[in-house]
Amino acid sequence: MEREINKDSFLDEFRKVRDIGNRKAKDRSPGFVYIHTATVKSLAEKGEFKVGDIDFSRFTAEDLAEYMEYYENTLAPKVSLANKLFSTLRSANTVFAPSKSCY
Amino acid sequence: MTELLNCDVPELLSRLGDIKELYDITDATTVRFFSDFTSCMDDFECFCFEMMGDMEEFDYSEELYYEEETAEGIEDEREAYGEMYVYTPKDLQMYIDRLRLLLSQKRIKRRDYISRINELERLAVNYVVHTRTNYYGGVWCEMDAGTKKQKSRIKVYTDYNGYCSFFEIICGVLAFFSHCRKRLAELERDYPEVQQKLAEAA
Repeated sequence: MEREINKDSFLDEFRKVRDIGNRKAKDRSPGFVYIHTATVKSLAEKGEFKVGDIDFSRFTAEDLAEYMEYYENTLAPKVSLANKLFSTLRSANTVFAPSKSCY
Repeated sequence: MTELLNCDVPELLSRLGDIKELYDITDATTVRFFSDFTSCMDDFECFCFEMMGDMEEFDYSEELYYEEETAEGIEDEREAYGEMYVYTPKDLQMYIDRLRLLLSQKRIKRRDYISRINELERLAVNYVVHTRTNYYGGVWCEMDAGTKKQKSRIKVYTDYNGYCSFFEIICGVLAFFSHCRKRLAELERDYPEVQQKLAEAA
């Protein structure tokens, strides 16, 4: 799990649009790629984004729906996995920290 | 990386979808209103609740109480069951004023006047009351064309016992304002002399 969530490669999962099955990243519409760049990639690289920075004329509602499905199926599981790892680490720290021994 | 992990991205994308929908139907008003909204904003609904009273068109709000008469009269200690927000957009007032002037000059028929007012009433409900079903979702909206003494306005009712999204309410209210602006622009284009008559009357 630790190797799977190496920080640099983990963030790369959110910086780039991935090939999914038969659907290649290069085949995605410009609107889809724009949404990814403006939202999730900004979150990964800068930690936030503003609605005012998004150009709503550069994507369609269909692009957004497609991207939401992509996030749900591809990126959300990775977020969930990372959160489980950090939760495990936090719990381990509570048990093994000398000042907080449970024994 | 913590911002990425802590952010509810699906919820964020869903809100962007709502803003996009209104951007396509109306204009960029909603985008401008939320332009400073950042992805890491905590308690976004609380922020939207505060914005309900900060909008330029906001007039006043008041709590809603059930009227219960007892043998001694109406009870003093009651709990509010909801709240009403009143908005008086200038474009709505100007549009209705122009319609009334056109009606008085017989430039438009009474049927046309009533049809245009009904359209605004219907759109106010459609935009603000998100649900299209008969299920009561804790939000209602009415448009009041007003009189000589009372400004034209819309009233948004929220029920504390129901669930409502203040974000969706604000989006709906902003969409209605955009629609009023558009209708006013069309009227001024179709009847340019009305502007002059109103200026003379003022």
